[in-house]
Amino acid sequence: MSIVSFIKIGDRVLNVEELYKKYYPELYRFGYQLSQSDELSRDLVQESFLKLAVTGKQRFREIENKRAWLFRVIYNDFISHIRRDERARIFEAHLQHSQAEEPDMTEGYDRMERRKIVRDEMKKLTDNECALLFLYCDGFSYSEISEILNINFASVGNAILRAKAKLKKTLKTKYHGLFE
Amino acid sequence: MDCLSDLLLQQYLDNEVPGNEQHMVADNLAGCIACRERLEDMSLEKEEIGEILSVLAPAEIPVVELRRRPSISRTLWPLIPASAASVVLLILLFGGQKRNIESALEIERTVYEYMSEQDPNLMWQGKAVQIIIERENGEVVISQ
Repeated sequence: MSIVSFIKIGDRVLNVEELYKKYYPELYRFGYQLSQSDELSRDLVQESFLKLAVTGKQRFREIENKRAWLFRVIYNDFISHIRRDERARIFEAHLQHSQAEEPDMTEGYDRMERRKIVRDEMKKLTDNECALLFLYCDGFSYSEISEILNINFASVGNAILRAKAKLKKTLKTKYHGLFE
Repeated sequence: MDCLSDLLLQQYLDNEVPGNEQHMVADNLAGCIACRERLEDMSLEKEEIGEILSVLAPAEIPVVELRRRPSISRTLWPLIPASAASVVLLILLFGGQKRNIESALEIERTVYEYMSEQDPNLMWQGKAVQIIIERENGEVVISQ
C-alpha cells in the first residue's frame, strides 16, 4: 500500500488510485498540450495527485470538483516551473526528438509539420490563453475554466473570444489557407 | 431587432447564456437570419480550432503507474528502529495528535497528513522542523 493509495475522510475511504486511473489520460493530455513534453507531463500529473493525496482532510472535503482542482494544480505547476524561454527550449528538444526517433511512423510528416507550425504560433499567445483554448476545445464549462485558470467567471466568455481572435489572426497572417 | 453580441452568441454556443437572458437570445435567434448565420460560423470555427489544436495533443497516452517521490518522511524512515516501541526524534513540526497506525507506510502517510493539515500549502517540504513520533500498541503520537 503506497502513501497515496488512500485517504481517510471520516469513515469513507477514497481511493486516490481510482481517481488517478480515471483522470490520468485527460490530465496527461492537458499537460502535454501545455508543455509538449512527455516527461514533464508525467511529472505534472504525478505531482498533482501527490498534492491531492497529502491534502489535509478538511481541505480535501472542501474541494468539490476534484477534476478541476487537479487541472488547476497542473496548470499552476506548469506556470511555476516553466518560463516562456524554457518552454521554447523544451519544444525544440521535443521536435528534434520526434524527428530523430519517429520520423514518419507514429504521426506522419504532415502532422509533424502542422504541429510545428501551430506550436510556433501558439508561442505568441500567453500561457493563460493557450490553456484557455485547450480547455475550451475539450469542452470544459465556464465554471471549470474559471476555477482552473483562476479567472473571473463572468469574464470567461470574453476571454475565449479574445484568445480565439488572437489565434486566428496569428495563424491566418502567416499560414493562410494551411488548414482549409 | 438588434443583433446579438459576439459574447452572447459565444455563450449560447457553449450553453452558458445567463438565465435572465436565455429567452431574449432564443427569441432573437428565431427571428434573425444574420445572427443564426453568425452562430453557425462560430460553431464551425470552434470545430476548426479544435482540429488545429488537436495536433498538439499526444499521439498516444502512455499508461504510467502512480508513483511516490522522495519525501522527507521516507528519507527519515530508515532512522526509525524496526521495533520502534520507543520515542524517536524526527525533523519536522508542531502540535500533538493520536492516530492509528499499522505499518511503516502508515506512519509515512500519517506524517504526511499531519504535516499537510498543519500547512496545506506544503511549505514545510524541504525545511527542517522537529517532531516526535511515539509508538505504543499500534498507536502513534505525533508531537513537537
